[in-house]
Amino acid sequence: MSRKNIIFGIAGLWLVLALGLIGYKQRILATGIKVVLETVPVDPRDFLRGDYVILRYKISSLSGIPGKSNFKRGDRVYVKLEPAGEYREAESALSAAESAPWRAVAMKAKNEIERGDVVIKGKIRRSGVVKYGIESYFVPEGKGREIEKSMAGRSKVAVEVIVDKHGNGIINKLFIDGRAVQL
Amino acid sequence: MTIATLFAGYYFSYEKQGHPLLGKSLLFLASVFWGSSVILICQIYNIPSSDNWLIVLLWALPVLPVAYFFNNRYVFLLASVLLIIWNFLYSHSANAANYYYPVLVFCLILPMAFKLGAWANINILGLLAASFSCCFVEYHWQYSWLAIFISSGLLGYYLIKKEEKYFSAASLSFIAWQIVCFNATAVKRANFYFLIPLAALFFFTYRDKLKKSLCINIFSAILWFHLVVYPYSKVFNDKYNGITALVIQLSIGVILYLIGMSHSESKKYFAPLYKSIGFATVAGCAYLLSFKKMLIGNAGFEHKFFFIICLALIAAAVLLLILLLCTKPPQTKFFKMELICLSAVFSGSLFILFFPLLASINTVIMNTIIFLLAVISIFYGMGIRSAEVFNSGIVIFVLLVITRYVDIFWELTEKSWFFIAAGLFMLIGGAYLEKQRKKVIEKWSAE
Repeated sequence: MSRKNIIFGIAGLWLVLALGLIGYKQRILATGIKVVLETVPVDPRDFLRGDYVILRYKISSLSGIPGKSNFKRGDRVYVKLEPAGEYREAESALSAAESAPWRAVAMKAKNEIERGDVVIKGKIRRSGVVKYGIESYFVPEGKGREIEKSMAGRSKVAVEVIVDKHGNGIINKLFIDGRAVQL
Repeated sequence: MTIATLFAGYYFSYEKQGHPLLGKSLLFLASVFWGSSVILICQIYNIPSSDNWLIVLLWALPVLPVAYFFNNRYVFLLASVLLIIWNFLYSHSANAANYYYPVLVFCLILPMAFKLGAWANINILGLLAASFSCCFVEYHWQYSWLAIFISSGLLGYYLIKKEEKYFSAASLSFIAWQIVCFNATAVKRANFYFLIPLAALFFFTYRDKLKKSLCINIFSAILWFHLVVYPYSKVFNDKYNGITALVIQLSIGVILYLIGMSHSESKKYFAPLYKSIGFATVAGCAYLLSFKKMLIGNAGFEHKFFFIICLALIAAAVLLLILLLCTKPPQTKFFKMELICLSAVFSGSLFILFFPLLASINTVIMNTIIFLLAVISIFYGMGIRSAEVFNSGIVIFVLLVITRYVDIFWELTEKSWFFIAAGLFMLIGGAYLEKQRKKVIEKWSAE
């Protein structure tokens, strides 16, 4: 194999990987269902990627999820979500934030998911905490402090998450008192 | 930009003549840009920091072809370091032992290092770090398997490549394994399985005459002994304190020295090593036991377990000495010097064992032993013309004098006078000793 072919191969591999990662996330954003989750935020820094907001959800605690509790640490779980209010699916991002947050109604294994269930996939970590991969919200350099200030006090913070049929979630927007945070 | 930099690197390396260094640098820069691209994409989609391992992996693996096909050592170094970081991030995030890392290193990275002729050492260090990190996590059986897996892999590499660094790394990794097992059993069980790899390690050490590895394996064997004794002390409800450990260690030092003395002519290669380690161990333990304050707190060997262990070790040492005397009767005066030292250490060990509460007498005995070790080392070193032995005698002597000076005069004098006198004493004494030492070594060199 000539060096020219190899360099094209490597460039192709890099492009496929980068576009694959983007495509995978975009597919979730395009086809998923919007759910709104209540949060408790703090503001640290990621050594790789600058300012971000750490998010904790009500459904992050095992005790906050009804259903069977025979799951152990390290298990993959699927938390079934239902809107607490009358909206099943919000029409827009803003209305989603204004609607009642979704709540966890059951914790299931993969083979227990029924057709039509809106689930979010998580993993049980130490001390009864479930991680869903939606615990970080990145903000531009220097903006973290500003958001943190607005989060302080009695502000109601919610996150619009888009979940696909497999339970993969991506953060779409962050809302403080019903207003989307503009980055 | 990343792809353009990659192609520019290729262009300057192979298409345009005369700019190979620029080409290599651009290929490296493209690899860095690739990492930043991945980081940016992950930031856009808010991938959480707990998944940073994924970013590092997505950075490291795709740059490996650049290192391999374009012989770029810097890119290979970047990938090696990233994979070490990935190992820790993954283990922490998944809360599980990362078997993928050693598999990746053994099957892909080390062969690449041989091809490129560089950076094998950093990957060996990465494997050792992975092995030793198992000692610091909440125990799960998978961590001890990981430590064994890494150790065996390194041993396998030694058998293929015949380079001592792999063997030394394997020996160190087995040390990590015994510590993992010690933590695993909540210090309740002794790990006798360790004797199997230890025997294999000693076999290879002797077969291939690996001096550095022998030091590691001797340390490993001593550590194993202590880790075996500790759980049994719990069974017999005995206390494992500093004095106990030092007396045990003192006896082990004597045994090591005797093993060195008893090495036959065919194994003479290792004899000085055993003697050096044994001597250093005895001198170190005797020095620590020479502080009265330390001995005053010694409550003695209350429950007999450690008393029996120490007695057994001393008995083993005496038996070894008798066997040695039967096979090699003392002919030279140097041999007799060694015997005087050993007898002094035996007597001191036995006295502290039977009369642990007599702190003052024990202090005097231990100081006498150190003084004897120092003086005999100086004469022994002069006799056999060994600068190492001679210098170690001088070092012990100086250390003893300084320590006792501080011990005695610290309480008695004004601090300012103390420092002035100590400074003068050290200047004059040090200059005199150094002059004498140089004179002796120059005389040897001239001869």
